[in-house]
Amino acid sequence: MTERSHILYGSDYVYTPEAVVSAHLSELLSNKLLSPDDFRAIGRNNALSLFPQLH
Amino acid sequence: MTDAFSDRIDVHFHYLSPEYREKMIDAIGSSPDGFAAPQWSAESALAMMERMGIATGMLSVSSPGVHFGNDVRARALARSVNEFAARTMGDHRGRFGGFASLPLPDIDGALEEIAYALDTLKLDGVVVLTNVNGVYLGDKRLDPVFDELNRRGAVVFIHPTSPICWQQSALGYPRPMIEFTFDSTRAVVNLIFSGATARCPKLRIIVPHAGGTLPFLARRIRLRSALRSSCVSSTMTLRARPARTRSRRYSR
Repeated sequence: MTERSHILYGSDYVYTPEAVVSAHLSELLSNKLLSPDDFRAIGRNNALSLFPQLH
Repeated sequence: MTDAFSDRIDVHFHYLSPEYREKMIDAIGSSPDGFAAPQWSAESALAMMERMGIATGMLSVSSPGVHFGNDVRARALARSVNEFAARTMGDHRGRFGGFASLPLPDIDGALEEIAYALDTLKLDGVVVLTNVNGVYLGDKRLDPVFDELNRRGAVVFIHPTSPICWQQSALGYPRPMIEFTFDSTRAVVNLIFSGATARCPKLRIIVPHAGGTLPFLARRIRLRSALRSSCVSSTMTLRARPARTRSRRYSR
């Protein structure tokens, strides 16, 4: 469907309440298919390549 | 929350300025899309971000957007929410980015707001809804806006909204539950098959909710697209038949 470099993190706050954001994060972080580098890419680095001004 | 995934940039992060919330509720009631409009403040958002390990939230106005039937009011509301986002970004440097809302389907108003929001306010991209009054992304009427966004190499955050048929299709459930994911699917399929994505290769498009139902349907869409001309003719046949039946019935 897509490459890991094209996956971004999005919480859907404020329509998604914090408890659900937290549950989604726990679930995501328990995913054994993703490496620490994948988490860095999805959580931050992929977005930085779209928004270099956030550096 | 500190983990392998902290200092997150959250690209799907909604805000409602007090003025936006009030004007939206005045226009269409307190439960747009069958879902209560929440309260938002920078302070509570920052507290949540602190607890969740989110360094930066990319602000966007969600469905139902800023256009409630009147172009002049939509232009003013787009301007107001975009200035609110820019102020919030300035007040909390590094903690927020922002996607500009556009007063679509007003094309001239949208073009004016793209220039103001990206050049003057320095917002980071734009947010567009999957459809406005049944006009889907990829529709020719939106070409001037997409061409301008392409010229700028803009980041476009697509956000789903209710389809115009929701009264018949949502079965009384809040539209974010089922309708939104299908509306994202429709909009992305139409962006591709209308030729818009090929015409606008510099656009950088973000599709939320993991692409709606696209991951499930991608293979089916690809297979059917190979048969597209026959799909179109069979769809036209199906549509034409009941129409003829009706007109015969009425003429008798």
